[in-house]
Amino acid sequence: MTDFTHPFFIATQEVFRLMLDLDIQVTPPEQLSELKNRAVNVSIGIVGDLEGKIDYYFPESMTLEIVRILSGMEMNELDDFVASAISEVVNIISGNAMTGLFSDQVQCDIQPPSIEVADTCSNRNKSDKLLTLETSIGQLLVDIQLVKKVA
Amino acid sequence: MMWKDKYTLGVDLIDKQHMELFERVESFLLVLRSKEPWELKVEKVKETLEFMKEYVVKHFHDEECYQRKVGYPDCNRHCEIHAEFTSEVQEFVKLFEEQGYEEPLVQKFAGKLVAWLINHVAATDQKIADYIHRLEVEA
Repeated sequence: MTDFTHPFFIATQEVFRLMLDLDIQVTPPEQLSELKNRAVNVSIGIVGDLEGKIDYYFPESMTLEIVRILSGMEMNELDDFVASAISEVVNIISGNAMTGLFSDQVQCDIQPPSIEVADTCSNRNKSDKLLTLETSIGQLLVDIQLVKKVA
Repeated sequence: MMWKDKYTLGVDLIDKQHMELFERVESFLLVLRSKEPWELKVEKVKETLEFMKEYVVKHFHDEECYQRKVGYPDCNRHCEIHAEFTSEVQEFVKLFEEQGYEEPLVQKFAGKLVAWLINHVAATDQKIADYIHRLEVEA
């Protein structure tokens, strides 16, 4: 059975390395302390051979730092500029993951991302396909909620 | 500073155009993100967007010509990526014309532009540099 999480890990790793000069490591889910309260949730729909959505959760401070690295400018709040930039980063990661899936003969497309700030991500739709990741600027969680399309 | 030396491809014309794009985007952001009232910065924003619209088209054209000249094998896919982004920019331009240059929409455009440009130059365009390097090694 194809591991759907692996292309998302590779894509996240590559995008963080090339765009942000950051390494990512897998961390145990119980150590995701930064995501226990308030998190920025960028959600992106998937259609095709697999259907569902991918939820990316970032601490707000990490979101601001990512956009600071990209723009070279200090960011103080999650405004339209920051929301758009982080959504595009997620769009790029997800698009690259689709390319990875395609090499495993799984053909899917992404839909436009949506963003919200969740007071807590404890009520998120907990799937069994979670990537819990750590970087030097914070922790992120990728919740992969995909099912094979019924023919 | 948005530009990083690692973005250099080693193709003089393309590198100069990338640096110009990064400089323009950076000065656009400085105006856009300043605390000045929107009415005072909207003209500068419009000017920069006009420049970007023309310069991006010219840059994409020059880069695509270069890829064909060196026989870059992923040229068609690269051209598609350029076309997709041009189409997205045109959608924003249409919205600006219909709704006016409202600050939230321009901020949204700028956020997308910054992330897209960095990914394109740092990842997609670097594959051209890798290809050229392979050609040089094989020669």
